[in-house]
Amino acid sequence: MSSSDSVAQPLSRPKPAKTSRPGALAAAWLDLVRGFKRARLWSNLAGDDIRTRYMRSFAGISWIFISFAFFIFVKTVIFAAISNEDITFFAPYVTLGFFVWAFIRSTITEGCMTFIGARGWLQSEAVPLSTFVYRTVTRNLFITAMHAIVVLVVLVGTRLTPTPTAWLIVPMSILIVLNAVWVTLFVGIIGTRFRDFIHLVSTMMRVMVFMTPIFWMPEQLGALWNVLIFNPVAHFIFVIRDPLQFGTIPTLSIIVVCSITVVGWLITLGAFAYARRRLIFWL
Amino acid sequence: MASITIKNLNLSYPLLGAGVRIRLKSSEMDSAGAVIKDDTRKTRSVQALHNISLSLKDGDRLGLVGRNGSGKSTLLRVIAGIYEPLEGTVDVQGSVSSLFNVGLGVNPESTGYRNIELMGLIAGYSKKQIQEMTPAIAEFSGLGGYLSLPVRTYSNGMAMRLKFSAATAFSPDILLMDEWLGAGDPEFKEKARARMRELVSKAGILILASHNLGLIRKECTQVLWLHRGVIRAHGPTDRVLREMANSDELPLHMKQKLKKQWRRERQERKQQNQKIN
Repeated sequence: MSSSDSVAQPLSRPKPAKTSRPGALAAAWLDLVRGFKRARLWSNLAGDDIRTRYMRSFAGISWIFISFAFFIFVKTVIFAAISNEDITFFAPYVTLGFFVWAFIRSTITEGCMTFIGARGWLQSEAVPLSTFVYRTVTRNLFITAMHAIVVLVVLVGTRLTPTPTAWLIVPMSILIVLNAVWVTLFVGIIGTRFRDFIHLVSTMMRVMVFMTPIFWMPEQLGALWNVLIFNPVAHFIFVIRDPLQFGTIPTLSIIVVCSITVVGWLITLGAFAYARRRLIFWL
Repeated sequence: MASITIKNLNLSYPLLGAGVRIRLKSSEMDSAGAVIKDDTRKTRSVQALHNISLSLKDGDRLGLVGRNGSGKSTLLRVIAGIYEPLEGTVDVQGSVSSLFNVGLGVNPESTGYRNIELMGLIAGYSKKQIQEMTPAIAEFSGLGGYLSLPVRTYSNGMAMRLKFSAATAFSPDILLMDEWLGAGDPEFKEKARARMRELVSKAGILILASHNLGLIRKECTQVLWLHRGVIRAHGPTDRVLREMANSDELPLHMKQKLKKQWRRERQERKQQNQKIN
């Protein structure tokens, strides 16, 4: 047998026999369900991530509060001075906006690393890919929960009294988490296959924070707002901030967020159906 | 109970990044590695396995041999369910434990105990099952107090002890090993060998990929010889190794070593027969 022959000839592939494997879409869905059932695993992995991140530091996880609170404090002081708004208005405005933004930002930027960061596990065990999506989302939710304590302090400190409309944030938070799952999965797939995407995302995030009404109000922007209203991130902030701070129902934003949830999930399911088997080779 | 059935498996993976543009001389592609195919002008893939069919049942101990890049590790990963082939069927019955790369699947910042827990969770065991097994794993590893330290402080050999102890503690139906125990000391190797025999005797399947033919002869009853992703031979250990010894696959000294061993064994058998007679 001469091995040089096998190089020259293209290998003739026998046509694959059609088998009764579940379809790619069904397999993708099954992966999401099976991964979700491994709650012990992804919650433990997320817990380890947090522990590892703040290991050997004296303040430990209190750094999550400290950095968030410090940032909010400085921004509020400076922007309140510029915009001559009342600080009891501006402080909760900035805090709530930045709180939602911080979750969106870490969902997108860390989402890109979901599978790349799990490379070792993925290459040594057969685990549903979605397990690592839930891990990233859980980790981000944990940090957001810590931020929420700072938010609470600010709201109490500025004597903000929410109206019953504020209950709207409960279903809206659930929607945001549902969105976080598809976003993490989607950018995880794209980031693994196209490494430029990771750098593009971190570049975009630096700009997005200014394109989103966090430190400014739409009314201040005039005509420019007619363009920036197409920034979907703004609506994710409105659905939390408006009911909580102003007691209003942002109908348009709720419609936008609901639509993004449905469309985002459909696109992601399609992408996942295609990528699920191939992803391990992209790592 | 445990069984592995593979039919007409083809597996290729895409080469991404710089690998697409680099030209390979056919002589380079010959010495080692898998077959690289240019699918289109801009995409290139590695045909890691081509038309593999294999069937294993309880008690089988299979050795995988072949040059670097012949597809041994890829085949192990297919059986472990890590790679899902697009062509062909793979049916694996029974729980699988795999020992591939020591560094993979370990969180270096977490302690040894914590990693035992994580490895158990990844393998799909409940917290209670893991808690019950942890003392046995700790004892077998012989790492003692080190288990309370982060794995990053371990030597290669110690990390290997931890992985081996955890991977084999739950008596899997199927055990997959890729170049195992490279870093173990003689004492642990002996223990590991005993544990492996015990696992295989518990009606499991062992698949061991190795370049150490002495080890393959000792541990395996059958050998699968892969060459550039294709099965070159599959059968009882000595038959396949003899075929290897008569080919250009092995360097001279390894052929001589094998032949010397066979000669010695033949003589021993002869002497025994004479005694009986």
